[in-house]
Amino acid sequence: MPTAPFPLLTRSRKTLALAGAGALIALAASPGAAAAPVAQADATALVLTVLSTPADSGTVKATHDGADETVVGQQNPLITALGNQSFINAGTLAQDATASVVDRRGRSAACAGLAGDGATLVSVDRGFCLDPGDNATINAGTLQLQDVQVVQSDLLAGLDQTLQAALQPLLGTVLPTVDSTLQTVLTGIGDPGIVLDLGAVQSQCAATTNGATGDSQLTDAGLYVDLPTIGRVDLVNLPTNPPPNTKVVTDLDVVVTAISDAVETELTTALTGVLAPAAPLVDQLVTALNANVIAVLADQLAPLEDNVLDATLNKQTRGDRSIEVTALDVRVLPAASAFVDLVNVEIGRSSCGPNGRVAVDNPTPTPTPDPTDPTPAVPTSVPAGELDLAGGATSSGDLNGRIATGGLVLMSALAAACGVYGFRRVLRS
Amino acid sequence: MAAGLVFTGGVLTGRGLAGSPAVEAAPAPPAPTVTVTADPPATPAAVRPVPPAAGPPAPPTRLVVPKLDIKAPVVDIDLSSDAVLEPPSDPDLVGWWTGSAEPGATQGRVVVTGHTVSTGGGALDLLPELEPGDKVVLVTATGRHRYRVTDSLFASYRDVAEHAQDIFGQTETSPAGARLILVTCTGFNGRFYAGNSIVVARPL
Repeated sequence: MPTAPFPLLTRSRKTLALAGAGALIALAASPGAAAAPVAQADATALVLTVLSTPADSGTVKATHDGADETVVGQQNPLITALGNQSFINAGTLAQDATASVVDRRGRSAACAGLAGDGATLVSVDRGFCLDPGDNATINAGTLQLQDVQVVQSDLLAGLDQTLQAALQPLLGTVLPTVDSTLQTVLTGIGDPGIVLDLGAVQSQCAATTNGATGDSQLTDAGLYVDLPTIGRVDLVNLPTNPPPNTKVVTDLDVVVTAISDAVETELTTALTGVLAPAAPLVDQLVTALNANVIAVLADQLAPLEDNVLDATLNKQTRGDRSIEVTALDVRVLPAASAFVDLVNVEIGRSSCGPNGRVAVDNPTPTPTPDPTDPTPAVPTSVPAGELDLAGGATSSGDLNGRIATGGLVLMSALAAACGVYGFRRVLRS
Repeated sequence: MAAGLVFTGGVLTGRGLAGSPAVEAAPAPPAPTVTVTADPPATPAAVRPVPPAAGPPAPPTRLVVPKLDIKAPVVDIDLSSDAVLEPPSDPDLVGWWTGSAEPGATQGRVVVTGHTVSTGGGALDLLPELEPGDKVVLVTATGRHRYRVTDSLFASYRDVAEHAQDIFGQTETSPAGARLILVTCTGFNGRFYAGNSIVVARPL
């Protein structure tokens, strides 16, 4: 037996660690010996949380106890699975999970997501669940704009003596005109929705005994606000393959600008009429009053110009040899609660691992090695491949967050045979 | 990957699988090089440092592969109870299987493995690039053991599992010194690795 190159203390510590790990593995992986499964994964296509009340598509969970796989939950449910809600009424939900044991090592995979009608469902073994079809839309929040008010002092602010003098006899008409014009525009806009428009948003993950990896894909996804009488205002287009935990924070200043422009157009028409008696100062008065009204409007809609939407793309949370991936997590920030109903949309949540190993004597008993057997034990697997997951490596070089993939890949019988012969030929030469 | 695998398999088959239809159809590949080849013309001794003697068998402490610019510390690793040989978790390190031969021993094979990382940074990322004739050095506490690569192979995980004794068996007796087996993973397809890259080297 070779001599150890390290001090006894190092060796002892390693031996203890290995013994401990072995005991843990045996406890965790032995069928029937403990509750923890050898392999596990779960998937949830969609979770909508409105005012802290969640509605979701249900969860598919796959576990493997070392002998059998158990899958519970509904795969690929209908939108109606979310119950009575008004946020999404069409689309294709996908959620699938699988757990297996290969060479006594647990493996699991999951995928989950949402696409529009006409999307094609894909097996979890292929990675992502969906090939996009039509786009789907989710109402991710509703703007409430009717409370904007303008008072007389707002209209007069900053006007010089000449303009104030010209305006004074007309104030009785101008003030109601401004008020009614504002209300007309804002009422016409109503309570516009913040719409999440997507071709497909989905996540997938996979785990072995050594670690887990996951990814997300957002196809043709973006947020917009549909303003009746004004039109669609795009807020943000989301990247297709975002790195893990990509943050997209957006304000609604483009919405405020669109509303302001609409108000200004209407006001210009209305005020030009009621201010006609003030000629030749009509144009100056219209410009000044417009500026004051828009300033008031901007002040009262100011919260929309702060960050009101907080989206996390490819959200990844890591555990010990496990991962949870959510393709898209959109939250309306509390700062906007005066204008927007608080909604949290989570699309495509997949979880994989942690997975363990089946104890050597289960589920298929293997002969106890004969101590007199002249053939010593040799490696039958060398899992020496790592997936580099962003941010997975710590400063100490530990591979926490990376995945060692020791999985078997079926190769052609010819190639396999050739390779094997090659080993014999080379190693016996 | 599939093309590479078939190519590798074809070459290996051609080396000795007489009667195989694949071999008969394929052009004859070069004969395997398993004999010791002389070093390139030596630099004058006066200007070339003399490498230390190999010394008695001892566990390796450093792996040096000049062609790939690998200078990796070697730590000892043990075989798990289910016959899995896990490389060190730190991808900068490589592991020497303590159940294998020490460099300089005359029985068994020296088995060293290290990680390949999909985005780079693994000690043995470039191992499949080694070719027959390339040099490898294992440094021990007692000296430097120099090897020359004789074969660079690909094996699926199934191949490795089914023919573990052929690859890692420790019964071989080699008066000239135990051969070196370097192992990592290769064939990353975006989700997982297709198999192992195995490099075989003879002591010089």
